[in-house]
Amino acid sequence: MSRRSPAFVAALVAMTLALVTVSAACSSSDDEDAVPTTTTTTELTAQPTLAWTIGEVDPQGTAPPAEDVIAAVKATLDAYLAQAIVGPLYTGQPAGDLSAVLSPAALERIAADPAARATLVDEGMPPATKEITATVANAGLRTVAGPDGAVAVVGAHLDLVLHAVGPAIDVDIVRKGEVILTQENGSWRIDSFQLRTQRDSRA
Amino acid sequence: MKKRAAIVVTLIVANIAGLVGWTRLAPAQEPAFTIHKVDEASFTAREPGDPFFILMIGNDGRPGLEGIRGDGIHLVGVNPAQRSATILNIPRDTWVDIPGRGAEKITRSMEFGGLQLQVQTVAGLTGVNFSFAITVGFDGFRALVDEMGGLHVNVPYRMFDRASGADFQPGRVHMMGEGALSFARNRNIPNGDISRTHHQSLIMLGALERAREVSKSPFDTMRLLAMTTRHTQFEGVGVRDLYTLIALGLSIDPANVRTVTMPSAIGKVGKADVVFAAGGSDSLFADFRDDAILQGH
Repeated sequence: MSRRSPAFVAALVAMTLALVTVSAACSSSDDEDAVPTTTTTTELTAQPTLAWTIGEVDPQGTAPPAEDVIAAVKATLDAYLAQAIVGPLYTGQPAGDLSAVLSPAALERIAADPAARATLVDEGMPPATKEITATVANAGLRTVAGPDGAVAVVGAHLDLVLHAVGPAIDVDIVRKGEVILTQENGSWRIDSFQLRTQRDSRA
Repeated sequence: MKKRAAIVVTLIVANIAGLVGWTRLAPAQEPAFTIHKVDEASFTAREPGDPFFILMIGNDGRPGLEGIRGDGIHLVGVNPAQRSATILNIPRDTWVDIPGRGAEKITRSMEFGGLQLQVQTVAGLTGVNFSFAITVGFDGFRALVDEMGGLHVNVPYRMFDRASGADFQPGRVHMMGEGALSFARNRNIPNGDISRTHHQSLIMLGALERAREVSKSPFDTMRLLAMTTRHTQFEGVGVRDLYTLIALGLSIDPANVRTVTMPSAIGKVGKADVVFAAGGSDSLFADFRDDAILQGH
């Protein structure tokens, strides 16, 4: 067994410590990759696009919906997500015209009832310009078809969990509940809704 | 852990409640309702809060019975803005002028000229413009009430009638389809047909109350819609119209529904017992048709 000089031992210890530190740093980085990002320091370049995942579709004993009906309903739900939720969160401004996603009856309701509007629309918060992510965005559908097999009314059970971050906001938003969509002149719109929306600040 | 257990318990309870309250049956063989377009434009083109009117007719058509008569005649006026409604009952033996046929009992207009003449005759009597007419079939009605889990009716007095099968004590009574049908058909009561037409409107109120009980959420409404669709025949209208009617109906508390029977006087024409529209009928009809709410009556 050869003898090592004190200088050599010191260098070996320093290298070992350095390796452990790098290894720990790499390990920490891997952990972050495994868990959805919760904070970033960079600004988003544009309003993020989020989408629903359509789960179970229950025709309730009537004719099952055609694929294009499901696609059209999903498109309306995605547009609702963009216009009533992600858009106002990103800009910090009130939602714009929602007539493309809400029926006249639903528009009338949110105009008359601020509490109902607050369950449907994410407004009144500082802009979330750093991050808007969804850890859950599921929609299960119930449809009703007439004797001709055409689906004219669709119910959607929504389950949405969002995290929004900006310079002055770091909030979790959980939205659960049901909406009914009806078809008018070829387009689907939300006609009634019963949602529970909870916003919890992390700050 | 407690939260997860609570969720599991909630799901189990919800499923049991769902199984008890909602038994899915095969599609109804005979419709409970047939919804006919009369003047749908008056419904679809109106502002959301504007009133509209439906003619509901109990159809006594049954196997072995010749001819179909409007056995129960009810004008339903809905005022969505006020979340109120009025059921105006017309006795079936009301003596009226049937267009093209002359003076006859109003019930015979269906037999003479089908639904179109029935609507025309009732509109002529009352001046009301209907968006839809809904005919109610006995067997389908019974099946639908059964599938809904029955309904509650405030029985005004002791009833016992072998012909209809009605056998009720006074008070709030839970009825399944057969019972509700016997209550609606029983004529062996004070004032006969005049009282019976009022009782039929009590069934309608009971059905509304039950529908609201089982429709606490949009998905419940979807279930109710699916069930009603399976018991409905559509004539010129669609599921979308049915949904709108159901949604409007669910928005109205039964306490805000008035049921009133046309002022009536019993008389005779030849040997036939008939009912005449008594004084005050015209002002009642005018009060009803302006906004579906009775202010002066």
